[in-house]
Amino acid sequence: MTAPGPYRLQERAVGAPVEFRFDGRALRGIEGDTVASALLANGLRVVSRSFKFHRPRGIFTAGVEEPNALVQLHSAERAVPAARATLVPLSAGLEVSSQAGWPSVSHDALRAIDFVHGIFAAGFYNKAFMWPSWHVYEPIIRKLAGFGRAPTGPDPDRYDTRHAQCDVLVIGAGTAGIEAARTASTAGQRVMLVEQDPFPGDSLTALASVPNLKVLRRTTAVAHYDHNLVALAESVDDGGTGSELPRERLWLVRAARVVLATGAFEQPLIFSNNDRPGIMLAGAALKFLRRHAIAPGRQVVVATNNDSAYLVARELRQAGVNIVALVDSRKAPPDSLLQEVRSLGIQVHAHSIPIDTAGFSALRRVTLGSLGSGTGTGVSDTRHLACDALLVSGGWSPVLHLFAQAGGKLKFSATTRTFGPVAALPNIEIAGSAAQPSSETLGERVSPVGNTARKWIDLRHDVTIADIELSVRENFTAVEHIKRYTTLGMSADQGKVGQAPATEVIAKTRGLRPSELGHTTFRPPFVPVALGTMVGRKVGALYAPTRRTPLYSLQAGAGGLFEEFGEWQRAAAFPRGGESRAQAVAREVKLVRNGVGLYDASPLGKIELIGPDALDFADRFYINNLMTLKPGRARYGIMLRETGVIFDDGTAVILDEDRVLLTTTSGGAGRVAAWLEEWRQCEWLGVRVVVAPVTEQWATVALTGCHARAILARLKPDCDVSNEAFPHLGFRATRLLGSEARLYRVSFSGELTYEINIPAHKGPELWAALLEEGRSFGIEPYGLDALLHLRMEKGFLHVGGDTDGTTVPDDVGFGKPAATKSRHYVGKRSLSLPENVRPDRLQLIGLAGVDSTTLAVGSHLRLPDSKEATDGWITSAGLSSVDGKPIALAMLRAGRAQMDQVVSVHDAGRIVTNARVVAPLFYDPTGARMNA
Amino acid sequence: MLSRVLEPCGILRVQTWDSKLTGLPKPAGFAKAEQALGATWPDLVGATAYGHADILCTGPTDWLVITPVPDVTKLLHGLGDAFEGSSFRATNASDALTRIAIEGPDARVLLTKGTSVDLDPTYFPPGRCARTRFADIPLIVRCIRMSAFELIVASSYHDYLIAWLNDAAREFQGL
Repeated sequence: MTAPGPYRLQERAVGAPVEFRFDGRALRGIEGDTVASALLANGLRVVSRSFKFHRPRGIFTAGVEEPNALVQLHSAERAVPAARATLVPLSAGLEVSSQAGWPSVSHDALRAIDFVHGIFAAGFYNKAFMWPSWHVYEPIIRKLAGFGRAPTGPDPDRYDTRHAQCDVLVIGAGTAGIEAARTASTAGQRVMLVEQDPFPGDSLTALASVPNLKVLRRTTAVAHYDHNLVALAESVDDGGTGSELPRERLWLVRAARVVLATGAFEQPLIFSNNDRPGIMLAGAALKFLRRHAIAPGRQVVVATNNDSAYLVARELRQAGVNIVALVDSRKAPPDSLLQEVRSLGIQVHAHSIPIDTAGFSALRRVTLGSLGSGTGTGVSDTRHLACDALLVSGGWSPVLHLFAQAGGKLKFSATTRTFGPVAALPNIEIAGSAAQPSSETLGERVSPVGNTARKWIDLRHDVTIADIELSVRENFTAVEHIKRYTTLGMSADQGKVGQAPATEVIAKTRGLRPSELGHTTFRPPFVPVALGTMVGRKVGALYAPTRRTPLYSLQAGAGGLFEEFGEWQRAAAFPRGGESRAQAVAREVKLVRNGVGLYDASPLGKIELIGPDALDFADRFYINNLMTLKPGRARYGIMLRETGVIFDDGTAVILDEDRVLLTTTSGGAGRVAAWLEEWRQCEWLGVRVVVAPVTEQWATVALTGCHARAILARLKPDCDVSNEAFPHLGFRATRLLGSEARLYRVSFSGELTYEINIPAHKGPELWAALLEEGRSFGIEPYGLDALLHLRMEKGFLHVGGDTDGTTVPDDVGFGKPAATKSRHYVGKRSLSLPENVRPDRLQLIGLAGVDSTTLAVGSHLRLPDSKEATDGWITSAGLSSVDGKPIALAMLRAGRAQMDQVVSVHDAGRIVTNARVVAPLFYDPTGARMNA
Repeated sequence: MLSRVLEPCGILRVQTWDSKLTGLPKPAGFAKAEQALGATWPDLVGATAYGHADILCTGPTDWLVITPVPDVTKLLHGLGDAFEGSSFRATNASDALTRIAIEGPDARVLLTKGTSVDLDPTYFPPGRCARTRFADIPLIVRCIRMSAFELIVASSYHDYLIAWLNDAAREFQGL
């Protein structure tokens, strides 16, 4: 069988054909190909267009560092932009397209830009596109640049997350990585070995039988955080098959020790027109030969400044590839190497360097020059070599991105001419070529002649030496500034190719030694990670946790319109028969005001304090005095942060001499318990109390309205519910429906209310029984919207609604208890801070509309003749259940001194209406109804 | 893989305010409590003692007592007596908590999707429990047998957690 592709070396190629499409064209690769190797085999030289100049670009590397071959995979909602062709395994039917170029990547009309490239120097967009606004140009420039196409709809593929722990995490399955993994697992340690290459060698397969070793392929370590927490992105399933496997999986691995066997990136040589298709790193060509049986061209020139490319030249020659010449910038390459290549008939040009190339969509020629005796002295003896492939090697730079992310310091070494670690980090080991850059002396990396505007040091972002020079001339001299001004290293590949020569070029331009320069910060992720991979399964219904009360199903059955409040799914209202939400809320408000309603208050926070110091402990948190609290009575209380700001409110009751029960706001249940624990564990050691949150042990139902007592009595609770025996702010621990029950006579609506607590499993039974017994009274459930309206009419505080992170008790009318309580309490001291006693603080007031215009929450208020931008805002609002007129609660500057003033109400910068300042109490001012 | 919501049972939460107690001789009444439960009180975080009830040590000053009998009135009284004069207190959490069993060869892997607790059998064998953040909610995970686990979670999260587990199990051909 013939392996497809004119550049495939038939005698070495193994694998069945695989069909795929590139820019709509049907092509064939073989099993085991990456997209890059299949394109090379088919002789497709131009795979992308450069960012600024639209120069044709070809595959430059064979790995993760690829700057040119970023391609689009799939289409529509499965579209993947900026995939590295060098890492994507070829699969049958794979749809690949180029990201830039119009009408196509090989015939790009925008190539004309290259002829006027001088306009597009560093910072051009900062200078040329400022009028009228950058935003006018940005969409066009983005399109010109060719960023790829985002998916057109929700991603149908699945993504997932896993956690893992191990003794040793080995990153990179080259020789050093495999050795480290084998040694550690043989010693009985739990080992994970990760390799990003889709087709690692046979040696990795041989590890399958090693115990305690987990091998992850097609997995890239993308981030290294404190204490060896490493994030890995694993490509699991290429998708499109309806598989339940995730397309990608994010691993969060905690490793006792990390071995960075991440290898080294080969660096390029820098010369004029060093970006043409057909120019490739020498090591990449070797990988394409060994893995994929690919000849890089028909006439190949190899150019190097070090030993490693000699092996490439030799192996290619032995595979039957025509090596036109080997060019070495060193004066005296090692004799043994010279003999080896010369014995294969390869011509060597020592002390020479490429100075220019020719060809447009394919390389045609390279021009060499002999180097002079000193640096910067130009070249002599220029000569031309016809070729269609030029393999370059400018030395090797250890891959230390993860080491730097983990906090490791790197320094440029004059010997190795690349960055290396300054000092070791604990529990991180660097192994293999990542640890040991070759000790040989490298030759020239940069051609001393030619136009610097045509010498690329960042292929992806089209940054040339001229850009560096301009940047330094304009006083952007620090590497971080040069990076930002020129965009060097800022693209999708983050400048993985060419950091070492770039550093030398910057140093030379600034007249410094490279070791005097630092490097830019290595930030995670090491390679771009799909948003889906980071999100995992947190989409749709699993976007965030939700909580349901024991009465959820009953309320859903009653037509409850659920919304999330905190994490809780709560019925906002129970619209019926085509009612709008507002209509339903108005009906429910009337129901409670005139009859009786039922409300699920189960999320209300409940915390038991148990121990001899329970009451004393509780008293330390409230601005209200609890020490005079009697059994059978409930007391309202407000809690402060140590800053004096209102934190939560609720009630306290005494259960017995050893136990106090607190209630908190629904949203505050968790944080109040944590707050109490913090004081108990950290501040008041020795206090004899435990904090036991019991919120979910109890279902809580508020039975509200003038008929509430009659209905409750029908359930025959084990206590007298008459107003005399059980008055407002009473509490009974009793029995109901054959079970223990806790009854509160408290009211958040202004109506007679019993808050009935019963063990959660009895909740549905209680709810049903109350509806049944209340039927003749017209009882119906009401939702949170109605409750919030009812309490607004009464001016009862909604902590977090009316208050914010600045509100102290006096602002909302609780200055007196806060000031008169003689015992100390958390936050008391801060109430006397100058800021907290300023006379112009925002204060809670009521507003009455002057016409029928609705008052809207969030509207800003201004006093007559105010010089301020705002004097306050509306915190809650609605239409009065008494007369239908607009009413609101608001925080207003020195509000209590502004009674009867008319303030203007602003929304979106306009005056919407006016409103009169009144007391924050719109209903039953004497409290007769809730005391009835 | 099998996942099911376990029958209601009795769950008590036991706490102490004396954080120095762990590892020290227990107060006088303790023998009575241990006798009532038929187990030695565990004081290593993550350990479980088995008797008439399972006693899980879920924190330095926290325990869960799980008994198959849903009505804990008697037990609560018994423990109340035994704890008298000590720093220990018990509260009823039978309705507040729900138990979900997860069983099968992939159970352990499935759970690694939700928690960063090290669930390797070496470190998390049968009898171990851990309080953790799982799928963004607080819960207690315990190992019952090598491939059988239990999640003890606030009842309000039950529906969300079941949905999460079913979704997580799709790659293992479902629960």
